[in-house]
Amino acid sequence: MEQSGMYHLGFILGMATVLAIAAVVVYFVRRGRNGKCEYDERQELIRGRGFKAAFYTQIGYLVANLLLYGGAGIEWADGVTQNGIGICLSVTVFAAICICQDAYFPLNQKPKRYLLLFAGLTILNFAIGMMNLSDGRRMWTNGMLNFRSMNFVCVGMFVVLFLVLAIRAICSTGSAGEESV
Amino acid sequence: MKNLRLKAARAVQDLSQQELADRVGVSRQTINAIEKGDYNPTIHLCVDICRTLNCTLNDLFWEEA
Repeated sequence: MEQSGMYHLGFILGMATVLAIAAVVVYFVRRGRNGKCEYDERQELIRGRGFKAAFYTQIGYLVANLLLYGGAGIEWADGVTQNGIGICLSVTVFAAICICQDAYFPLNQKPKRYLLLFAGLTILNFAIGMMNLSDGRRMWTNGMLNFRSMNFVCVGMFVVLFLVLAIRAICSTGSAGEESV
Repeated sequence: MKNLRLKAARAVQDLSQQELADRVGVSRQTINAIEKGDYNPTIHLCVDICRTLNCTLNDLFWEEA
């Protein structure tokens, strides 16, 4: 019981730390502008489509998970990891759709800060994941993925978004010249 | 359908897509999408573009039958 209490306290403190770090990151990303994201009407439309696609992705993921557990009886991950992967999947779909159609970055914001943020979070998650592995902590328990695998899931998400950003940047650089006067 | 009239009107004013976008408060990609016919702007944006380019709605956005 004592251990359980300490575990929960540690979990809450861990979550509080993550939220505090996220708040600091958001502050630095938003610093230097009026704080409100401005999107034009086309971007709002694309973002709406992105949210829709992310919503259906989440539904599809939950149904697939339900069939795996309820139907086939396959348990492949614990609850935290399942939810985390679902969130990462939906966020990736939304962000990729918006980036592909130039609707991810607001008019009053520089993409460079987001690129640095993505790179920083990728490196941070990769480092934490590798530290866990080097300490002998496994990413699975009883044949199921556990929460320690979430670091590498996040790395995968940010790598995908980074690639989409890079491809989009290359495409827009190639066509920028003929789009002027 | 491509909006070549918008592109021509922009060229007459010697404005780049980015300059026009800045003046009407949208992204350059939005102006590009309108010129390529990939996006149908709202009447509000059409009016803003027309005012910036000193044109009428008929000049830039009305499709002849």
